[in-house]
Amino acid sequence: MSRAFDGRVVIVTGGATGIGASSARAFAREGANVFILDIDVPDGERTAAEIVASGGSGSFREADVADEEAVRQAVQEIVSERGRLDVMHANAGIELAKTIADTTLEEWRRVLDINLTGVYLACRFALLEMVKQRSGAIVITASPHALVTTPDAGAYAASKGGVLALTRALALEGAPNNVRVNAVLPGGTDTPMLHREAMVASDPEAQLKRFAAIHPLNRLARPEEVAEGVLFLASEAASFVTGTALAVDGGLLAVQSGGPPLSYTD
Amino acid sequence: MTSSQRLKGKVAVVTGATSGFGEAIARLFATEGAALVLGGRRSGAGDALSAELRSLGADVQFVAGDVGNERDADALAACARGAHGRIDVLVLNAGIGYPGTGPFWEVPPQEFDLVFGTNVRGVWLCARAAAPLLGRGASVVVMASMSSFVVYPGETVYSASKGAVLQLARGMAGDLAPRGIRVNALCPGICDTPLTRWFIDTADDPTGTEAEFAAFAPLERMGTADEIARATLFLATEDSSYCTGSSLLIDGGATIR
Repeated sequence: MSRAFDGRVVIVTGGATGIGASSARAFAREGANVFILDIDVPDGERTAAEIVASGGSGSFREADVADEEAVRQAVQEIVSERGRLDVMHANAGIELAKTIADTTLEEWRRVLDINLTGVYLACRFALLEMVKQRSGAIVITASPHALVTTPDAGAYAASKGGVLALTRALALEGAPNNVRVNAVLPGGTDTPMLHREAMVASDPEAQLKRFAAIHPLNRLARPEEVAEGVLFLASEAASFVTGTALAVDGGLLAVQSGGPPLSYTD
Repeated sequence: MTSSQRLKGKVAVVTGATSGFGEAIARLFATEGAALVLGGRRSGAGDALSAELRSLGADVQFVAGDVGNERDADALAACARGAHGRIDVLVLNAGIGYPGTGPFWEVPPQEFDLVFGTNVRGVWLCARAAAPLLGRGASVVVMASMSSFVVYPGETVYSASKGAVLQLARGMAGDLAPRGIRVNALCPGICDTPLTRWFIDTADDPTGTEAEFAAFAPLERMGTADEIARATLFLATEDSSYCTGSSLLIDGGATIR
């Protein structure tokens, strides 16, 4: 039985943990040669080893998505090694649970460097290869914060809004060469990042429950569920889908709870 | 995303199944192992499609009727209840693009009613009749349109109906979320369906119109009914288990420029 990504070459940035790790595992399960880029060496190597142990093809490269040379070099090495690049999942990102009033310029730059410039770099070097081969799919991890937000996620929301506009720009650029570019908007997902966010609150467990409850499905996503959305957008099943954002958010964006806005800090 | 037989053991109801998107969805769902209850206005086409899918080994019922008619919507749900006792996947696809075209002041009230009666009331009636048969884990897919978000010249009434049906899908998602049932909308752009072909063939300049349609999306082609069917399958299965209230645009990028 053929698998959806047999023999395909896939890069996942921020693939050491969380949504990226689930995406890497899911692409590998579907037959892809997966390359994880991350700054987290132990978790990146562990995730790649898990993929190999379960019979898949996975490897890890240390790279900071905000470092142009590192991203350029990683993409070029992978392409010269495998001869092509079929999918870029530009996923690496960080949170900052702060109001704009409390955000220093240094913090602002760090969030924008990783979440927006990092996506630009990963997508730019991927697009250059994909345009040459006249095929490819890019999936970007954005966030519902691109559209609705909380009072203490200013820099994060701005970075994700930028990423969504970048998705559309890249989609228009890639379309004449059959390169599709889409975003996923994950709702609250049960990842190490979310648990770190919840630690800001006085009662982290209660905070996680409140996170879950703002989603109409009344639970958090498993990272595997977000990964399935990424795989769909990257797959041939989505061959007429480009420039759009798929909410994998348990109904968060469509159905307003009417409750008070959720804050990371309580 | 595993391959093949992804709807084995599932009961799927598809409205508007006699041509275009609905027919492609019925064919793909049959291939994926679903038991089908199909609805459509044209009994000849419905019977022929059912017979063909049965000959390939599928369990298929066809109910002739108009989704905008309460008795027909109830009959479709009753057929699913009688044959299977439940519905796992409900695809509310039936819709019309014509009549009702032109600037709003030229549209006769009966044409407005026909468009809304099918595209909005028909979706609501079928969902309403099917709601008691949907259990935890069931998935509803509503066929909206890129016209749920944007308006093209001459399509004011159609676009209003597709805007309404998107909001209906979101509201149903909220209503059904506590029962663990998901509702999502598919929003296609210009696709190469029999309706589009009819539009091309009856245009003053068919070749020019076809080229115009192909150039409409940044991907520089029309979509296919099969591409709509594959997106419907994603929303119908556990692959989209955390998607509800989502609208999936499948328009080749047409609405981003």
